[in-house]
Amino acid sequence: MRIDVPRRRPAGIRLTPLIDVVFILLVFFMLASSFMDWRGFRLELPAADATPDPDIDPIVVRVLDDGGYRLGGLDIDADKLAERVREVRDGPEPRPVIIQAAAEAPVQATIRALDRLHAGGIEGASLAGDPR
Amino acid sequence: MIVPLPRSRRTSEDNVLPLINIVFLLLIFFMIAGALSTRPPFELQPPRAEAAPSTPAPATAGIAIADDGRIAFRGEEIALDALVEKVRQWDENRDDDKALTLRSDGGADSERLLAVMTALRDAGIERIRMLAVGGQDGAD
Repeated sequence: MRIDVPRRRPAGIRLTPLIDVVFILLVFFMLASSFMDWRGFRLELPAADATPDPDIDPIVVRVLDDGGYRLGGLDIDADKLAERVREVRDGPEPRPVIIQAAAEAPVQATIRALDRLHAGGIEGASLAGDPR
Repeated sequence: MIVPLPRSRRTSEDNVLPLINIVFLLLIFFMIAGALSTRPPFELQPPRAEAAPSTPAPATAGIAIADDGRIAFRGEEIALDALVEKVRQWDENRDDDKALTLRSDGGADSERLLAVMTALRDAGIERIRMLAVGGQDGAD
């Protein structure tokens, strides 16, 4: 009896369909990926019914409409913010820091205040609106 | 003596092998280095911050505030009035306790940001992660 042995199979897998798929994946990941360097600030949202403790005297940093800062009635440079807050805060009890943003102040200015305070080692500052 | 040269088995596919190698490397680079994230339905330019700790790219869309005050929650544009209800529903049904991410355009009004934060507080959210991108502000 004769058994026909298949002569030769083509060696290896066909590459063309593989390349097609890999190209499509490559294009997908190139378009869908983002390479932004994200930073995150944790912000606590105080409960709505929390009444402020009258004994606690917070340090209020005001952010003005034009993006300037004011601490204790004095205009202050963003870079000096943390330093000044530390001086004011210097005391036995840690006082909370509140960043009070004017309505028209850009978010960038508010975040800058948060960032500078963070850079100066003051964490846990909270955001508040301008009461007026 | 005559030794026959082995027959050349080079095919056209052999020529593309270096190409495929490069493409594979690029693919792996983009898969690992890039981060897939959902984008809000509008363009926004996040504020810049230097000191804040790095954080992975927001996997879920969270809340986004556009330059002109439009708000999006999980990729869908939504009115501020409807936000409280929507966030509360989402908060009840979720199964992780990751902080909700908040992205805002750097040029949006702080008033809008605070209005959104008040709405979130009303919806029972206790802490959020405010996102910024690294770099000097004023660089753009």
